[in-house]
Amino acid sequence: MMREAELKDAPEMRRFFTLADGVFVAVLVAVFIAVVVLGTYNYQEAAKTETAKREAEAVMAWLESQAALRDNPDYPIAACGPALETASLLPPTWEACRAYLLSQPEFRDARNPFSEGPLSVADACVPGKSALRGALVFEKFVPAPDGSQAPPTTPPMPPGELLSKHLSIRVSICNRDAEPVFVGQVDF
Amino acid sequence: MTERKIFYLKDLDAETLLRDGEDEANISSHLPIRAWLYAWLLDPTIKGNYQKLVDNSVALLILANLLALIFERVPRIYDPYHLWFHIFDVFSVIIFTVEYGVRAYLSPEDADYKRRRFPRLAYLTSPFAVIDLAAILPFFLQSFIAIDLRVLRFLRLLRIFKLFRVVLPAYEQFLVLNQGRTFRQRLHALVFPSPYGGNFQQYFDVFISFFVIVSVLASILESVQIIDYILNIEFCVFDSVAVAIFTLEYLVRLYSCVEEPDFKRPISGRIKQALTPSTIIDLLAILPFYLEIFLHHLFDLRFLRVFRLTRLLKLTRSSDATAILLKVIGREWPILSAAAFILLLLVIMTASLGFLFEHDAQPDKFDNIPDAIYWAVITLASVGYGDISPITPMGRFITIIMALVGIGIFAIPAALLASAFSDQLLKDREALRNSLYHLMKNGQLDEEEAAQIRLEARRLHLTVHEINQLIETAVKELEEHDNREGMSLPAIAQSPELAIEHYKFLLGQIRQLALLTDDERFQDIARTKDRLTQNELALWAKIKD
Repeated sequence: MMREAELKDAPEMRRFFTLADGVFVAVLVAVFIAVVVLGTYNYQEAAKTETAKREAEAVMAWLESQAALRDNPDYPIAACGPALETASLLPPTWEACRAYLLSQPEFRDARNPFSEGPLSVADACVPGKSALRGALVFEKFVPAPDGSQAPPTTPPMPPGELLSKHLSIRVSICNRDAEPVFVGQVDF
Repeated sequence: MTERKIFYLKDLDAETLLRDGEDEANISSHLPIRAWLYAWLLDPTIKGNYQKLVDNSVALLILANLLALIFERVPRIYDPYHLWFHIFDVFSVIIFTVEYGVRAYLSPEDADYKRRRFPRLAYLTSPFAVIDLAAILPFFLQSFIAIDLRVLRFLRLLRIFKLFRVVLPAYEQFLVLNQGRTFRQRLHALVFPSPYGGNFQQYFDVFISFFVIVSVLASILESVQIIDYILNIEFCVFDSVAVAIFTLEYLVRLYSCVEEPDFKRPISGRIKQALTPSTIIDLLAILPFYLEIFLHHLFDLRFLRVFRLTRLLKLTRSSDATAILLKVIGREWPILSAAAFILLLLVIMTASLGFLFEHDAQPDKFDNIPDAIYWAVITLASVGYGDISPITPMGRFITIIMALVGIGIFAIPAALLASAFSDQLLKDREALRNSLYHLMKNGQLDEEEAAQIRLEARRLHLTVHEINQLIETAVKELEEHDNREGMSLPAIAQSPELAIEHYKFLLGQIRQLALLTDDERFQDIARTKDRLTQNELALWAKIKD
């Protein structure tokens, strides 16, 4: 069987490698290089998302560490304190606490991996809106009232939200497509 | 010259026929222990020994090692399970060390080394043995020397080269099969099934299938938030690698398809190939990746990610079941489309009536006819979510009628497909019986013919018992045919028993003719040139179906 097929090919005396084969191999190599370039670009973008996630995790860790200390009467960070009775002139609000948080050395020097600027905060991620890539998103977790069938809601943290009561804060980041990536939730 | 194996008709047994190629190895127990072990474990020339099992098991372990190495890079997975990773590594090293030792011990039995002065030394310095050693040495070295973890992981990556032990012989076989053939013909042999592909083509298929399965699994797991959070970057790298492989495969298929008999023309042949369902599936498997990269600035293309799951359809290329399904759907298309038309008619009519009776009573639920169509389909299909239900007496009356009719109407296409499937199976078995009959005319089967039957039996998922039945029928018919052969038609007609058998034989021949000839041209010529009467043509259609 095999011999027959070989004999069938033999009279044509075709060359092993033709010009067309050369062109095809060149196209193949070019396409391969293009895919490698695109793959590398994809990897770099994904790596930036990873960096943004690590930064958000650091923010989460800070919030968690402060949440454990906030109830102490001699808690030193007035902006993030629990109640109005603190020595501070201004009532502690989320805006003040967030400003304090981002002014800490580890966050002040951190960069948004996508924009290379300082860490940014957004109200929400809007897929496709590239300016939001890498931004931190803080949301207030509002559970549904007891007995309600409605799902819990997560509106953006209002800047003026008073920190006198404990809050559940959800931390997310906007990825390379400006889609939200949930990082964690902290009871602050 | 090897002796041709002949399967004689008189003692033909399906079990022997089907088992051939998977025979138990005929290895003498009187061999010296080393030769006996080599024959059972490592000799690639003995059919039915454990050589393939050993090779495949080691290949699987290598792939598992590769996966472990990837997951070790992810602290969230590695940290909690580092003990299990270590146990797996120790287990792998034990297996690889035993394999290395056994191969070294048995190397004097290997034809490649047995004639050397120092066979073991010759083996230990061979590329395969060096790779085997490189796969285990770092593990032992780290007990004595402090090695950086990254270097250690890189060295463990060398284990993947052990796969060459399986791939290289297949590649050598591929080269032998393709000796004197052109570059394009070799590419064709690699990606299309052909007698020139050998084991290398099978490994290529396995390689592509592996990437298809893993990339589909990755796409599914990406939708699980916690997994995507941990493995996002690994998914991203894997997707890029998979797309690179699928893209190259797609291009090679398009370039080499002109070696296929139906796609011979350089341009129109390739366009024809590009428009075949399997090649369109190949394109759909890679297109979302490129569209997302180039167009994500302009549009929200997240929905395209779902289309990555179409990669699973690539596996249908090697599935006979899909081919049968498409054949059945193609054959039953007129009836299926008629059933679909009736269904459509029923849905639109009942939805319109539902809208007519319910709109005033429930304007929020029966707001328009499209809303009513949703209700009609859910009711006709007996799904009945209950989110939209009629409250007027006429609406309820329509629902009762619909529910009763729906059971029957929705069952029609399912019943059609089921019966067409069983019909197709019967036809294929009939074809196999005919080919058995044809092949056994000379009273014996040679290896090539037996291989043909084996292949067909596997395709039709026939058991040994079923094949035996087919063989018995063929043998019986053959004997009856032999009995009849010397008799004239009037003599056959004397005995109604013989006449029936002769009639069945003639019907079988007509069916065989229908299977072998181009039926479309046959009917065309018969009609246009008045070669057959209407009745004769109708009889032909009846017999062949």
